[in-house]
Amino acid sequence: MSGAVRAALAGLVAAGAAAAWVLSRPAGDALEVVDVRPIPGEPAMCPWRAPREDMAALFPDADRWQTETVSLARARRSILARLGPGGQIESNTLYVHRVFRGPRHAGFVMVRRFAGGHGGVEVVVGVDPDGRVAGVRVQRHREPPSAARVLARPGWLDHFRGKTASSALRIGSDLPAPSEPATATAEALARTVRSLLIELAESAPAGQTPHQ
Amino acid sequence: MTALVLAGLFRRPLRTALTVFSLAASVAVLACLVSFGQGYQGGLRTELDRMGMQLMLVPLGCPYDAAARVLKGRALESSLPAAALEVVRRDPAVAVAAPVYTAALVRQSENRTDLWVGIDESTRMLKPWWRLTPGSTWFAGPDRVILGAEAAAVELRRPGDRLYSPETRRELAVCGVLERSGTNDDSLFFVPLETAQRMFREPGRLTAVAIRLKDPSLVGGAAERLQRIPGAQVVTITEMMGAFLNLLGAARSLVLAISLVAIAVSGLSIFNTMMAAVLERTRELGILRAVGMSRLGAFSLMALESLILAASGGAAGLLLALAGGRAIESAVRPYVPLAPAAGLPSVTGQAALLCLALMALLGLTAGAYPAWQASRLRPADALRLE
Repeated sequence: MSGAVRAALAGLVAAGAAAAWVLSRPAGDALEVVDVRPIPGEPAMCPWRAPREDMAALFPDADRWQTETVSLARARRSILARLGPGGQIESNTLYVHRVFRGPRHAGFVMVRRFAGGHGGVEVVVGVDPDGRVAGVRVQRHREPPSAARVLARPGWLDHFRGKTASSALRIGSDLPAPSEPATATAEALARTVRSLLIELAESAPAGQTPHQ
Repeated sequence: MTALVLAGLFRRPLRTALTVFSLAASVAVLACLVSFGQGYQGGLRTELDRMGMQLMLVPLGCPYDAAARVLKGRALESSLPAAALEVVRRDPAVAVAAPVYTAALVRQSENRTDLWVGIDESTRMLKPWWRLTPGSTWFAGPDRVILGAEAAAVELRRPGDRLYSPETRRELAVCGVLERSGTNDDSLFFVPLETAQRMFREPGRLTAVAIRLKDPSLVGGAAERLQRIPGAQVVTITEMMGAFLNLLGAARSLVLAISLVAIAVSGLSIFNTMMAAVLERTRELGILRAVGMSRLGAFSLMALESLILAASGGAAGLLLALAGGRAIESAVRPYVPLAPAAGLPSVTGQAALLCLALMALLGLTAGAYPAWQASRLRPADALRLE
């Protein structure tokens, strides 16, 4: 038997032994299960249209930001578990704009597009370093005036302040119920904000808070 | 021989690198230019072919500007009366006459423009390749909208959803979404013609009439007859394509001339590098000749060095074009009239071959004299030099 054949056989035996060892380990033990299946219809990054104005409103005195791409593949199961029944992750990637006030980290801004009642709605969520909502703004929508009055009005959006990834953000209890024409879009907005907060919280490495 | 050539090139690495870099920059520009030209011409032809028409009736003014605006779904400042459509439809050479009303709504805060296009059933005959996504239907009444694939993705709409137009305060039912076609249709909002006219308060007016003839060879006579419609003018698609290609051709000739000058300068740079190499290595070449290298061998040594220098520059230039082509394309695209929706290729195979052949020729030409000088060295004279 030639040396090359012997080496190939040894390699096969070693690979088989490694595979057997991996398969024999109980699921969820030291091995991490990462779900990297592509999500059908994954949307492109939603642009942050007015960063200066949003920063001034959400983080006064913040002077710069830096965009980071966070993979959610590792945290997908825990995110889905926290989102609860019917919860969905629309993308494996979370775009986080880290905002700074001088050298100090002031918070995060995340932007997401969701289906409103009459077109795409883009929401800008500011989160402080403790993971609490610093403010929510609607940067673009197509809602008719009856719904737009509620969504674009700071009054209703102000109720998001201080909420965290643990908040249920239910309309009617955690947030005041808007008038009827805006209900569906308001519910979708609350769901989107909650998803973003959970994704941000869960995307942090184990044992760390998202701001570390 | 190869070892000697490489040793010669690496003897002065900075000089070699600078020569390669200057060649690479010129080749990158040339490769992008040739590829863009080919891509633009092909893309434009495909898009115009897919329009499914031979003529377009537009309001009086600059015909090419008007036609380009209509094709891109941009608004025109003037419009045609609906009566023009009847005249066109009565023409014996006309197979399909599709009325179009386009309007642009600028959404300043989003840095984009919503393009609304009013059409009727005849547009489907002009665009038989249109495919609607499952669940979609054609307009079953007024205040319906069919969205291009991209528009639907931005608005997150599906058939059965509602869409509101804040600027015109009109609520529409999404009855269909077009499958992605890679054309400008992807980003448009299609509504029934009458709905568009009401939305933009121009009842009975048209932006253009797209015309398909029964036989494309009838284009001359049909254009002459339709030209007589008051307040209207006819543009043929062939004329349009010719006009756009001429516009592009003028700009292309200028840049081509500049890149050819840059390549000529790079050729001089190779010549200079090789002459310097021959002078620096006179003694070495003398020794090689003394130990038996033939005149042809000395010539080949320097010619090969020059060829490798040029080929390296060419290859580096192609890599540069591949890497930076997308950036160059996005910078150039806004200035290209009627740029095809599909991306322009950064480097085509034909352009790459052309550049490499040109570089080989340049390398041989620029290196010929220094190589000849090297072959003429007499060993005794060369060895006498300190």
